[in-house]
Amino acid sequence: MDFSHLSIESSAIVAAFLASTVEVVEAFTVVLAVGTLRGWRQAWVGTISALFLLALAIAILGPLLERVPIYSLQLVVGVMLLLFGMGWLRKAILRTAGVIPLHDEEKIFADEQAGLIHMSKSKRSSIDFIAGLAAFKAVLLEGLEVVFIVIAVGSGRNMLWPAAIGALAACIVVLIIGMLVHKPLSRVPENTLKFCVGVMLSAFGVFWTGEGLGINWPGKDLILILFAAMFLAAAVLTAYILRNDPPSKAVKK
Amino acid sequence: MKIIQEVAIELFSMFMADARMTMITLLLVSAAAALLKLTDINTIWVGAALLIGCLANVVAAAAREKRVRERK
Repeated sequence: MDFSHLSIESSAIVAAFLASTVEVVEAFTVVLAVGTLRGWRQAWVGTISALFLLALAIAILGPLLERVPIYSLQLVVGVMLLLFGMGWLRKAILRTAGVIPLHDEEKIFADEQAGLIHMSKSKRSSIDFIAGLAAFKAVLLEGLEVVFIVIAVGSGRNMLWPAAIGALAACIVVLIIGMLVHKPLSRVPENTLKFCVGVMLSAFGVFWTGEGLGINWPGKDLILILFAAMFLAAAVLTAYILRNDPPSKAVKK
Repeated sequence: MKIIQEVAIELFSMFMADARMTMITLLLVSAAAALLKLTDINTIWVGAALLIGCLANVVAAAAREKRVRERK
């Protein structure tokens, strides 16, 4: 049994699952706000339209990816993963350190509903149309991130299916829990998930950028575990230091 | 039309969370590519430099953001 291949495949599934959970929870909050405010017809129309558009994008982009040489694909995807993963990690560090506030699904839910009511009054448009559009936008924008994550973690080693299964599992889990509790999923540890995903995507980013550049990593795929451990250690340490670091003198004055 | 604009902004912001961090990352990758292309250096050293550069970059970006927010 090839354990190194198994480790990269399971990492791709876990990364896609965790990242997609964060995105689907965010989209679910908006869809729920629309559904409870204006009924589920608008929420479903907006959601299904966005999912259709996303499926169309995948159907067009998927075959194109197969034509790109693997090293070029690894390099481009690796750099994009680095930028995306490190962006998430930076934000997760700042949230853990208390520099920026944590994501609050309850507040986003309330803001979304207030925004919908305000928009329908100020624009004098049909609130049903605006509500459907809000659901469409939320699913499309968060869905785009899910599509990118699946393509990014899956395309470097022909693992699109494992990554897609991870993302699909996240959608199913969030939808089932969401339908059961019927309120914003505020108990999902969004920042912890973001922290883990930031670490994993950054590790994948370094690995694939290196492979795309022609670097022969020692230990092959298993070195991903070392990369992830190093990003995790650096991020945890930074968050700890920033949390316990007193404000600078200029601020104290 | 506004939706296309919002999608474009969202896609852009996915990779530009911190402009300086993004620029440094791109510079690191370019430097690694140049080193591999122009010298006979062992590829592992370039990989190690890329990894350490990325680690330092994300740590510096978080520390910089804290300082910026403290000044406000």
